[in-house]
Amino acid sequence: MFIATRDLTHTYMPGTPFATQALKGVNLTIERGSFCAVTGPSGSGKSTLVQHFNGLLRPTSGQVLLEGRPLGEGKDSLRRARRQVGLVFQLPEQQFFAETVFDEVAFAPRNLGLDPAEVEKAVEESLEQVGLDPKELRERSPFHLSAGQKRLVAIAAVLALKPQALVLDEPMAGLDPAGERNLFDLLRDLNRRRGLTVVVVTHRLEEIVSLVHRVYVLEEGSLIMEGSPEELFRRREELDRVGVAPPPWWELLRELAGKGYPVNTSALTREEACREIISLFKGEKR
Amino acid sequence: MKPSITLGQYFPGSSLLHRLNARFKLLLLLLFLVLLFLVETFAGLGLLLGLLLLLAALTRIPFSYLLRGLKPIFYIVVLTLIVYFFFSRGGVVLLRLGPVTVESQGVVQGLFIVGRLVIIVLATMLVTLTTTPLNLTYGLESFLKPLRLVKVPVAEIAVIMTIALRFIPTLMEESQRIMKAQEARGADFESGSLWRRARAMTPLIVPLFVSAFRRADELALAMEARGYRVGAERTRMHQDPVTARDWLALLFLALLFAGIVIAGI
Repeated sequence: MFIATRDLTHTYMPGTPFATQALKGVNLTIERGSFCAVTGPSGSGKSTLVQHFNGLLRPTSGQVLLEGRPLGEGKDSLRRARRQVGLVFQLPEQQFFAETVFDEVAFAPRNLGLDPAEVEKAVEESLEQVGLDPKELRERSPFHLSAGQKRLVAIAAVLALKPQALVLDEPMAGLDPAGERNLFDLLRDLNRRRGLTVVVVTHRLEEIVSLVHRVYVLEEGSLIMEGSPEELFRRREELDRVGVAPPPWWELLRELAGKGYPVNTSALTREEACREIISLFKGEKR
Repeated sequence: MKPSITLGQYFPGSSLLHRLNARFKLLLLLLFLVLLFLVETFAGLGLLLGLLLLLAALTRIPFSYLLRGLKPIFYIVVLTLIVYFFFSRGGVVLLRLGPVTVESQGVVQGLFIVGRLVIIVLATMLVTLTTTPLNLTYGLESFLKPLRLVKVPVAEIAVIMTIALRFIPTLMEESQRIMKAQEARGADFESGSLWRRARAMTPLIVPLFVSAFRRADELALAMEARGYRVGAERTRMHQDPVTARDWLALLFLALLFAGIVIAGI
C-alpha cells in the first residue's frame, strides 16, 4: 500500500450557502509501482481527490494514508508528502513564470533548499527523463516552446522533486496526436522502467487504458467502480451511464480472441493493435 | 492564506431587501448614511442599528457571516478607540495611568464614532449582499446617466464594472489554483519572514497576469462576435422592475428621516 484513502470526504466552502460536497466517503488503495487511472464525468471529484494525495487539500473528514501513515500527523508529514507525491495540474504550462526553462524546472529543487550543484543536477536529470535536451533548452524561454515541449517542461518541473509517485490531472488535454503519443511513451517509461507510481486523472480513459493496472471511477463524489480495465469493461452498461468506454480497437481484439482467433490482446496502442490484426489477416491468407 | 471573499459577495435569498430594486436600494443606502451623520445621540444610533439588525435578520444571512464581513475594520475600530480613549480631553477622569488619562468625553466620543463606523459597513454590506453584482452596476449606471450629457461614456463604464466584478471570483480561483500548483512544487506561502513571503508571491503574479490578458483578449473577441459595439444602445435580458414595495420603502425611510430630524435625536 502506498497511497490510500479512508472514508475521505471533502466539502468546499463549508458553512456557507455555497457549500458543495465534492467527495463522499471515498476508500481506495494505490499500490506502489502501479499505474492507475481516475475517471468519471466532469465535476465527479477527480481533481479534488488527487489533490488530497499530497496534502494540498485536507479532508473535511476521513483520512489519507501515505505508506500507512495518516497524512498531516507529525510536523514534516505534509512537506514529505509534497516531495513523495508529485502533482501535475491541468494545463500546467499556463502557470509558467520563469524566464528560462532552467529556472522553471529549478523552482522545486530550490524550494527544497538544495545547493546550486544539486539543483543543477536535478534540473538536468528531470529534463532528460522527459526526453528533452537540457543543453539545448536550458536558456530558452518556456513561453516560446511548442505545446508538446511546454507540457514536458511542466512535467519535468514536478519530476525535479524526485517524487516516488507522479499524479497528472488531464495530462493529454490540448495536445496534438504527436504530443499525445510522446507523452504516452513517457508515462509508460516512467512507470515501467523507472518504477514510478503513476496516477492519471482523465475523462478519456481510452487514451491511456492500455497502460493502466487499475481504474477508479467516480460519480458525484463517490467511488462507484474500481478494478482492472478488463474487469471494468465487462460492466459496459454501468460504464455507459458515466460515459466511460473502452477504445474500439481494444474491444475488437478481445472479441476476436473470444471468437477463437489467435490474436495477442496485450497490445498497448492503436498502432500495435492494427499490426496484430493485419498479421492475423496475412496469417489467414497463407 | 485564503482571502476572505465574504465581504460584499452576493448571498442568494428572497427577503425584502433581496427583492427591492437595485437603484432604490442604493438611494436608500445614501439616504440612510446621510441620516446616520445627522444623528447625534446614542438613542438615534441604537434606533438605526436596530433597524439594520431587523433587516439583516429578515435576509436570513447567518449572523456569523456578517461578523466575518466586519473583520476587516477590526483594527480601525481598535485604533479609533485607542486614539479617543487616551488622547481626547474633557469630562471626568476615569482612569489615570501615570501621565496618561482616560477621560469620559473621549470614551463617549470614541464609542460613538465606532458605532457609526460599524453601521456604515453593516449597511453597505447588507446592500451588496442582497444585490447581484449585475443589478448593482445597472443601479450605479442609472445614477450616472445624467453624466452622459457631458459625454461621459456611462454605459461603457458600467460594462467595465460588470466585467471587473464578474472576473473577481475567476481570478481569485485562478490565483488559488496557481498557488496550489506551486505548493505542489514545494513553494511555501505561509511561513518565513514577511520578505520571504512577499518574494514567494512573485512567481504567482506572472502566470496570473498572463492568464488575465489571455482572458481579456478572448472576452473582447467573444463580445464582438456577439455584436457588442461601443456606443450602441443596449437592452437588458433580466429587468429589475420598480414596484410599489420600492416606493413604500423610500417613503418609510423618508418618514423616519423626518421623524429623527424633528425629534432631534
